[in-house]
Amino acid sequence: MKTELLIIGSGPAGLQAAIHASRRKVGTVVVGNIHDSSLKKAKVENYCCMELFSDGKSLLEKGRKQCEKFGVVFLEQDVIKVERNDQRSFVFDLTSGERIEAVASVIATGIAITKLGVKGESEYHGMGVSYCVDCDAGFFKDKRVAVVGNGSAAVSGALILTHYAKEVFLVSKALEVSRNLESHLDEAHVIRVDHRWVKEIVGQHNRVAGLLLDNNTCIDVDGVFIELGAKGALELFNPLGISLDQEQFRYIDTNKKQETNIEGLYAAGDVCGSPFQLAKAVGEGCVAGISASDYIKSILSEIP
Amino acid sequence: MLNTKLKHLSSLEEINDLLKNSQNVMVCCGRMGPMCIPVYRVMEKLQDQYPYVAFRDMDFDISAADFIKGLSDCASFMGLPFTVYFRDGKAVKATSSIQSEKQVIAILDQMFKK
Repeated sequence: MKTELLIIGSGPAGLQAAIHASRRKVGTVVVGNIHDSSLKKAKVENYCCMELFSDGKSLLEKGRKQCEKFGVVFLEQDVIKVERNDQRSFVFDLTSGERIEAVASVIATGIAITKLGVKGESEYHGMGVSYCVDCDAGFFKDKRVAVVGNGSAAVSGALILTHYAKEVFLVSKALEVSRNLESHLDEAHVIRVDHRWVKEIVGQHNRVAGLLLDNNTCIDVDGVFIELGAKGALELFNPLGISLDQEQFRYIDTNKKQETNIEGLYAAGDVCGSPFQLAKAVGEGCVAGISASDYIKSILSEIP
Repeated sequence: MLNTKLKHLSSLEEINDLLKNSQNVMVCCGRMGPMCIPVYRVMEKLQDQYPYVAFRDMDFDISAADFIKGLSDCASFMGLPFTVYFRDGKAVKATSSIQSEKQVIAILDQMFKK
Protein backbone atom coordinates (compact mmCIF):
# COMPACT_ATOMS: atom_id res chain seq x y z
CA MET A 1 0.00 0.00 0.00
CA LYS A 2 1.17 3.53 -0.75
CA THR A 3 0.09 6.80 0.79
CA GLU A 4 1.38 10.34 0.89
CA LEU A 5 1.33 10.88 4.66
CA LEU A 6 1.38 8.27 7.39
CA ILE A 7 0.59 9.47 10.90
CA ILE A 8 1.58 7.21 13.78
CA GLY A 9 -0.79 7.73 16.68
CA SER A 10 -4.45 8.63 16.85
CA GLY A 11 -4.49 10.90 19.87
CA PRO A 12 -5.20 14.64 19.59
CA ALA A 13 -1.88 15.50 17.90
CA GLY A 14 -2.27 12.77 15.28
CA LEU A 15 -5.93 13.58 14.62
CA GLN A 16 -5.26 17.30 14.24
CA ALA A 17 -2.35 16.62 11.88
CA ALA A 18 -4.64 14.34 9.86
CA ILE A 19 -7.38 16.96 9.65
CA HIS A 20 -5.00 19.62 8.31
CA ALA A 21 -3.26 17.28 5.88
CA SER A 22 -6.46 15.75 4.49
CA ARG A 23 -8.08 19.17 4.03
CA ARG A 24 -5.06 20.03 1.89
CA LYS A 25 -5.89 17.02 -0.27
CA VAL A 26 -2.97 14.97 0.97
CA GLY A 27 -3.63 11.22 1.06
CA THR A 28 -3.45 10.42 4.77
CA VAL A 29 -3.36 7.19 6.75
CA VAL A 30 -3.47 7.14 10.55
CA VAL A 31 -2.06 4.06 12.27
CA GLY A 32 -3.04 3.53 15.90
CA ASN A 33 -5.97 3.01 18.17
CA ILE A 34 -7.83 5.80 19.95
CA HIS A 35 -8.16 3.47 22.94
CA ASP A 36 -4.40 3.80 23.46
CA SER A 37 -4.52 7.59 23.81
CA SER A 38 -3.99 8.93 27.30
CA LEU A 39 -6.74 11.43 26.49
CA LYS A 40 -9.31 8.61 26.42
CA LYS A 41 -9.54 8.49 30.19
CA ALA A 42 -9.13 12.21 30.77
CA LYS A 43 -11.73 14.78 31.74
CA VAL A 44 -11.03 17.95 29.81
CA GLU A 45 -11.62 21.21 31.62
CA ASN A 46 -8.82 23.47 30.42
CA TYR A 47 -9.25 23.49 26.66
CA CYS A 48 -10.11 26.84 25.12
CA CYS A 49 -13.68 27.48 23.94
CA MET A 50 -15.15 24.26 25.30
CA GLU A 51 -18.61 25.14 26.48
CA LEU A 52 -18.80 22.32 29.01
CA PHE A 53 -16.32 19.79 30.16
CA SER A 54 -15.93 16.90 27.89
CA ASP A 55 -14.62 13.44 28.35
CA GLY A 56 -11.56 12.47 26.35
CA LYS A 57 -13.13 9.41 24.80
CA SER A 58 -15.95 11.32 23.11
CA LEU A 59 -13.49 13.99 21.91
CA LEU A 60 -11.35 11.33 20.25
CA GLU A 61 -14.35 9.64 18.65
CA LYS A 62 -15.57 12.97 17.26
CA GLY A 63 -12.05 13.71 16.00
CA ARG A 64 -11.89 10.41 14.17
CA LYS A 65 -15.27 10.98 12.51
CA GLN A 66 -14.14 14.46 11.49
CA CYS A 67 -11.00 13.00 9.92
CA GLU A 68 -12.93 10.28 8.10
CA LYS A 69 -15.20 12.95 6.61
CA PHE A 70 -12.10 14.40 4.95
CA GLY A 71 -11.01 11.03 3.62
CA VAL A 72 -8.48 9.94 6.23
CA VAL A 73 -7.99 6.16 6.42
CA PHE A 74 -7.60 4.64 9.91
CA LEU A 75 -5.75 1.39 10.55
CA GLU A 76 -6.16 0.10 14.09
CA GLN A 77 -2.70 -1.43 14.26
CA ASP A 78 0.78 -0.62 15.49
CA VAL A 79 3.94 0.12 13.56
CA ILE A 80 6.66 -2.38 14.42
CA LYS A 81 9.43 -1.25 12.05
CA VAL A 82 10.35 1.78 9.97
CA GLU A 83 12.87 1.97 7.17
CA ARG A 84 13.98 4.70 4.84
CA ASN A 85 13.12 3.37 1.38
CA ASP A 86 15.14 6.05 -0.42
CA GLN A 87 15.65 9.73 0.30
CA ARG A 88 12.03 10.39 -0.71
CA SER A 89 9.97 7.82 1.20
CA PHE A 90 9.60 5.65 4.30
CA VAL A 91 8.37 2.07 4.60
CA PHE A 92 6.38 1.02 7.68
CA ASP A 93 5.80 -2.58 8.79
CA LEU A 94 2.51 -3.01 10.63
CA THR A 95 1.40 -5.67 13.08
CA SER A 96 -0.92 -7.10 10.38
CA GLY A 97 2.13 -7.90 8.26
CA GLU A 98 1.14 -5.15 5.83
CA ARG A 99 3.78 -2.69 4.53
CA ILE A 100 2.95 0.91 3.80
CA GLU A 101 5.12 3.29 1.84
CA ALA A 102 4.70 7.01 2.58
CA VAL A 103 6.38 10.19 1.36
CA ALA A 104 6.28 11.74 4.84
CA SER A 105 5.30 10.81 8.36
CA VAL A 106 4.16 12.46 11.57
CA ILE A 107 5.13 10.79 14.84
CA ALA A 108 2.31 11.38 17.31
CA THR A 109 2.69 8.28 19.45
CA GLY A 110 2.50 10.05 22.79
CA ILE A 111 4.63 8.71 25.58
CA ALA A 112 3.93 5.29 26.95
CA ILE A 113 4.20 4.33 30.57
CA THR A 114 7.06 1.89 30.40
CA LYS A 115 7.38 0.77 34.01
CA LEU A 116 5.42 -1.92 35.79
CA GLY A 117 5.85 -0.27 39.17
CA VAL A 118 6.38 -3.51 41.08
CA LYS A 119 8.84 -4.54 43.76
CA GLY A 120 12.21 -5.57 42.35
CA GLU A 121 11.83 -3.66 39.07
CA SER A 122 14.20 -0.78 39.84
CA GLU A 123 16.50 -2.95 41.94
CA TYR A 124 17.17 -5.40 39.11
CA HIS A 125 17.09 -2.93 36.21
CA GLY A 126 20.05 -3.89 34.04
CA MET A 127 20.50 -7.08 36.02
CA GLY A 128 17.77 -9.03 34.24
CA VAL A 129 15.06 -6.37 34.00
CA SER A 130 15.08 -4.80 30.55
CA TYR A 131 12.90 -2.42 28.58
CA CYS A 132 14.44 -3.13 25.18
CA VAL A 133 14.41 -6.54 23.51
CA ASP A 134 16.44 -5.29 20.54
CA CYS A 135 19.16 -4.03 22.89
CA ASP A 136 19.44 -6.84 25.42
CA ALA A 137 18.19 -10.09 23.86
CA GLY A 138 21.78 -11.24 23.33
CA PHE A 139 22.39 -11.43 27.08
CA PHE A 140 19.77 -14.16 27.41
CA LYS A 141 21.09 -16.82 25.07
CA ASP A 142 19.86 -20.25 26.27
CA LYS A 143 18.24 -18.69 29.31
CA ARG A 144 14.63 -18.52 30.52
CA VAL A 145 12.96 -15.16 30.03
CA ALA A 146 9.55 -13.60 30.41
CA VAL A 147 7.99 -10.75 28.48
CA VAL A 148 5.30 -8.73 30.23
CA GLY A 149 2.75 -6.73 28.28
CA ASN A 150 -0.58 -6.75 26.51
CA GLY A 151 0.25 -5.17 23.16
CA SER A 152 2.23 -5.58 19.99
CA ALA A 153 5.56 -4.66 21.59
CA ALA A 154 5.26 -7.60 23.99
CA VAL A 155 4.36 -10.10 21.27
CA SER A 156 7.02 -8.97 18.80
CA GLY A 157 9.53 -8.94 21.68
CA ALA A 158 8.61 -12.50 22.67
CA LEU A 159 8.98 -13.64 19.05
CA ILE A 160 12.45 -12.10 18.79
CA LEU A 161 13.49 -13.70 22.07
CA THR A 162 12.61 -17.19 20.80
CA HIS A 163 15.77 -16.89 18.65
CA TYR A 164 17.91 -16.40 21.75
CA ALA A 165 16.38 -17.84 24.90
CA LYS A 166 15.63 -21.50 25.56
CA GLU A 167 12.21 -20.69 27.05
CA VAL A 168 10.09 -17.59 26.55
CA PHE A 169 7.02 -16.82 28.66
CA LEU A 170 4.54 -14.10 27.70
CA VAL A 171 2.68 -12.75 30.71
CA SER A 172 -0.41 -10.74 29.81
CA LYS A 173 -3.55 -9.61 31.52
CA ALA A 174 -5.52 -9.20 28.29
CA LEU A 175 -3.60 -9.56 25.07
CA GLU A 176 -4.78 -7.13 22.37
CA VAL A 177 -2.92 -7.70 19.12
CA SER A 178 -3.72 -8.28 15.48
CA ARG A 179 -4.73 -11.74 14.30
CA ASN A 180 -1.56 -11.87 12.21
CA LEU A 181 0.72 -11.27 15.18
CA GLU A 182 -1.24 -13.71 17.34
CA SER A 183 -0.91 -16.42 14.69
CA HIS A 184 2.88 -15.91 14.69
CA LEU A 185 2.77 -16.30 18.45
CA ASP A 186 0.84 -19.57 18.16
CA GLU A 187 3.43 -20.95 15.73
CA ALA A 188 6.39 -19.95 17.91
CA HIS A 189 7.46 -21.72 21.06
CA VAL A 190 6.20 -19.02 23.39
CA ILE A 191 4.58 -20.15 26.62
CA ARG A 192 1.55 -17.95 27.17
CA VAL A 193 0.58 -17.00 30.70
CA ASP A 194 -2.77 -15.32 30.02
CA HIS A 195 -4.96 -13.37 32.43
CA ARG A 196 -2.09 -12.92 34.86
CA TRP A 197 0.06 -9.98 35.89
CA VAL A 198 3.31 -9.49 37.77
CA LYS A 199 3.22 -8.85 41.50
CA GLU A 200 6.96 -8.85 42.13
CA ILE A 201 10.25 -9.41 40.34
CA VAL A 202 12.25 -11.74 42.53
CA GLY A 203 16.03 -11.68 42.59
CA GLN A 204 18.88 -13.74 43.91
CA HIS A 205 22.63 -13.02 43.95
CA ASN A 206 22.10 -9.56 42.43
CA ARG A 207 20.16 -10.90 39.43
CA VAL A 208 16.58 -11.65 38.45
CA ALA A 209 15.55 -15.15 39.50
CA GLY A 210 11.80 -15.21 38.95
CA LEU A 211 8.45 -13.55 38.62
CA LEU A 212 5.81 -13.69 41.30
CA LEU A 213 2.40 -13.49 39.66
CA ASP A 214 -0.88 -12.15 40.99
CA ASN A 215 -2.13 -15.70 41.72
CA ASN A 216 0.97 -16.16 43.93
CA THR A 217 2.60 -18.64 41.58
CA CYS A 218 6.21 -18.08 40.60
CA ILE A 219 7.92 -18.52 37.24
CA ASP A 220 11.66 -19.12 37.37
CA VAL A 221 13.31 -16.82 34.83
CA ASP A 222 16.70 -15.20 34.33
CA GLY A 223 15.26 -12.08 32.79
CA VAL A 224 12.11 -10.09 32.32
CA PHE A 225 11.39 -7.73 29.44
CA ILE A 226 8.80 -5.09 30.21
CA GLU A 227 7.12 -4.18 26.94
CA LEU A 228 3.93 -2.29 27.67
CA GLY A 229 1.85 -0.95 24.78
CA ALA A 230 3.25 -0.40 21.31
CA LYS A 231 6.86 0.14 20.31
CA GLY A 232 8.00 3.58 21.37
CA ALA A 233 9.04 6.31 18.96
CA LEU A 234 12.64 6.14 20.11
CA GLU A 235 12.88 2.41 19.40
CA LEU A 236 11.21 2.80 16.01
CA PHE A 237 13.17 5.80 14.79
CA ASN A 238 16.52 5.33 16.49
CA PRO A 239 17.85 3.30 13.55
CA LEU A 240 17.16 6.30 11.31
CA GLY A 241 19.20 8.56 13.61
CA ILE A 242 16.48 10.72 15.08
CA SER A 243 17.60 13.58 17.35
CA LEU A 244 16.37 13.87 20.90
CA ASP A 245 15.78 16.93 23.07
CA GLN A 246 18.87 18.44 24.66
CA GLU A 247 17.44 18.55 28.17
CA GLN A 248 16.33 15.05 29.01
CA PHE A 249 17.13 13.08 25.84
CA ARG A 250 13.75 11.37 26.13
CA TYR A 251 11.69 13.36 23.66
CA ILE A 252 11.95 14.03 19.94
CA ASP A 253 13.62 17.29 19.04
CA THR A 254 11.67 19.44 16.57
CA ASN A 255 11.82 22.99 15.24
CA LYS A 256 8.92 25.44 14.95
CA LYS A 257 7.61 23.60 11.88
CA GLN A 258 7.57 20.37 13.92
CA GLU A 259 10.30 19.03 11.64
CA THR A 260 12.68 16.47 13.10
CA ASN A 261 16.28 16.21 11.94
CA ILE A 262 15.17 13.63 9.35
CA GLU A 263 13.78 14.99 6.10
CA GLY A 264 10.09 14.20 5.70
CA LEU A 265 9.66 13.21 9.33
CA TYR A 266 7.61 15.37 11.73
CA ALA A 267 6.62 14.95 15.37
CA ALA A 268 3.84 16.41 17.50
CA GLY A 269 2.30 16.12 20.94
CA ASP A 270 3.59 14.48 24.11
CA VAL A 271 6.37 12.67 22.22
CA CYS A 272 8.00 16.14 21.83
CA GLY A 273 7.99 16.76 25.58
CA SER A 274 6.06 18.65 28.22
CA PRO A 275 3.65 20.27 28.95
CA PHE A 276 1.52 17.19 28.34
CA GLN A 277 -1.62 19.11 27.51
CA LEU A 278 -4.38 18.68 24.95
CA ALA A 279 -3.95 22.28 23.73
CA LYS A 280 -0.24 21.80 23.00
CA ALA A 281 -0.84 18.46 21.26
CA VAL A 282 -3.53 19.94 19.02
CA GLY A 283 -1.38 22.98 18.20
CA GLU A 284 1.65 20.93 17.31
CA GLY A 285 -0.51 18.48 15.35
CA CYS A 286 -1.86 21.37 13.29
CA VAL A 287 1.64 22.65 12.50
CA ALA A 288 2.96 19.15 11.73
CA GLY A 289 0.02 18.43 9.40
CA ILE A 290 0.53 21.67 7.47
CA SER A 291 4.33 21.33 7.33
CA ALA A 292 4.15 17.71 6.18
CA SER A 293 1.58 18.62 3.51
CA ASP A 294 3.79 21.43 2.17
CA TYR A 295 6.75 19.05 2.09
CA ILE A 296 4.79 16.33 0.28
CA LYS A 297 3.53 18.79 -2.34
CA SER A 298 7.04 20.09 -2.95
CA ILE A 299 8.39 16.56 -3.37
CA LEU A 300 5.57 15.45 -5.66
CA SER A 301 5.92 18.58 -7.81
CA GLU A 302 9.53 17.63 -8.50
CA ILE A 303 8.51 14.25 -9.91
CA PRO A 304 8.03 14.57 -13.70
CA MET B 1 32.17 3.27 15.36
CA LEU B 2 29.83 5.07 17.72
CA ASN B 3 28.25 8.20 16.34
CA THR B 4 28.75 10.50 19.33
CA LYS B 5 30.64 13.69 20.14
CA LEU B 6 32.61 11.84 22.82
CA LYS B 7 36.16 10.64 22.47
CA HIS B 8 36.15 6.94 21.66
CA LEU B 9 38.22 4.20 23.24
CA SER B 10 39.19 1.60 20.67
CA SER B 11 42.09 -0.39 22.12
CA LEU B 12 43.34 -1.79 25.38
CA GLU B 13 46.38 0.49 25.14
CA GLU B 14 44.13 3.53 25.00
CA ILE B 15 42.21 2.34 28.05
CA ASN B 16 45.39 1.70 30.03
CA ASP B 17 46.84 5.10 29.04
CA LEU B 18 43.65 6.85 30.03
CA LEU B 19 43.39 5.13 33.40
CA LYS B 20 47.05 5.82 34.07
CA ASN B 21 46.88 9.51 33.17
CA SER B 22 43.41 10.58 34.31
CA GLN B 23 42.23 10.59 37.89
CA ASN B 24 38.52 10.59 37.10
CA VAL B 25 37.11 8.62 34.17
CA MET B 26 33.60 7.72 33.00
CA VAL B 27 33.35 5.10 30.24
CA CYS B 28 30.08 4.17 28.56
CA CYS B 29 30.36 0.90 26.64
CA GLY B 30 27.43 0.25 24.34
CA ARG B 31 25.92 0.40 20.88
CA MET B 32 23.86 3.01 19.04
CA GLY B 33 20.63 1.76 20.60
CA PRO B 34 17.74 3.43 22.41
CA MET B 35 19.08 2.55 25.86
CA CYS B 36 22.63 3.73 25.07
CA ILE B 37 22.09 6.95 23.12
CA PRO B 38 20.52 8.89 26.01
CA VAL B 39 23.56 8.06 28.19
CA TYR B 40 26.00 9.28 25.49
CA ARG B 41 23.95 12.48 25.13
CA VAL B 42 24.06 13.07 28.89
CA MET B 43 27.84 12.59 28.84
CA GLU B 44 28.24 14.99 25.90
CA LYS B 45 26.21 17.57 27.79
CA LEU B 46 28.13 17.15 31.05
CA GLN B 47 31.63 17.30 29.54
CA ASP B 48 31.92 21.08 29.98
CA GLN B 49 30.43 21.00 33.48
CA TYR B 50 32.91 18.38 34.67
CA PRO B 51 36.27 19.34 33.15
CA TYR B 52 38.06 17.20 35.75
CA VAL B 53 36.38 14.03 34.45
CA ALA B 54 37.43 12.25 31.24
CA PHE B 55 34.26 11.15 29.40
CA ARG B 56 34.72 8.33 26.89
CA ASP B 57 32.58 5.86 25.00
CA MET B 58 33.45 2.43 23.66
CA ASP B 59 31.82 0.14 21.11
CA PHE B 60 30.47 -2.93 22.95
CA ASP B 61 31.41 -5.22 20.06
CA ILE B 62 35.14 -4.54 19.76
CA SER B 63 37.65 -6.81 21.45
CA ALA B 64 38.90 -4.03 23.74
CA ALA B 65 35.43 -3.94 25.30
CA ASP B 66 36.29 -7.26 26.98
CA PHE B 67 38.13 -5.10 29.51
CA ILE B 68 34.83 -3.52 30.60
CA LYS B 69 32.81 -6.75 30.28
CA GLY B 70 35.36 -8.59 32.39
CA LEU B 71 35.26 -6.23 35.37
CA SER B 72 33.83 -7.85 38.47
CA ASP B 73 31.55 -4.81 38.88
CA CYS B 74 29.89 -5.77 35.59
CA ALA B 75 29.59 -9.51 36.30
CA SER B 76 25.83 -9.44 36.82
CA PHE B 77 25.03 -6.89 34.09
CA MET B 78 22.47 -7.89 31.47
CA GLY B 79 21.55 -4.59 29.89
CA LEU B 80 23.27 -2.14 27.57
CA PRO B 81 25.13 0.11 28.06
CA PHE B 82 27.70 -0.85 30.69
CA THR B 83 28.85 2.40 32.28
CA VAL B 84 31.89 2.35 34.54
CA TYR B 85 33.36 5.12 36.68
CA PHE B 86 37.09 4.90 37.47
CA ARG B 87 38.98 6.84 40.13
CA ASP B 88 42.78 6.59 40.24
CA GLY B 89 42.65 3.72 37.78
CA LYS B 90 40.17 1.61 39.73
CA ALA B 91 36.50 1.00 39.03
CA VAL B 92 34.52 2.64 41.83
CA LYS B 93 30.99 2.42 40.43
CA ALA B 94 29.24 0.72 37.51
CA THR B 95 25.71 0.81 36.12
CA SER B 96 23.85 -1.28 33.57
CA SER B 97 21.22 -0.05 31.08
CA ILE B 98 19.85 3.45 30.56
CA GLN B 99 20.54 6.11 33.18
CA SER B 100 19.05 9.57 33.48
CA GLU B 101 21.07 12.78 33.66
CA LYS B 102 20.09 13.04 37.32
CA GLN B 103 21.43 9.56 38.07
CA VAL B 104 24.70 10.24 36.23
CA ILE B 105 25.20 13.58 38.02
CA ALA B 106 24.54 11.94 41.38
CA ILE B 107 27.30 9.40 40.72
CA LEU B 108 29.75 11.98 39.35
CA ASP B 109 29.22 14.21 42.39
CA GLN B 110 29.52 11.32 44.80
CA MET B 111 32.54 9.64 43.26
CA PHE B 112 34.62 12.47 41.86
CA LYS B 113 35.80 15.59 43.60
CA LYS B 114 36.96 18.75 41.86
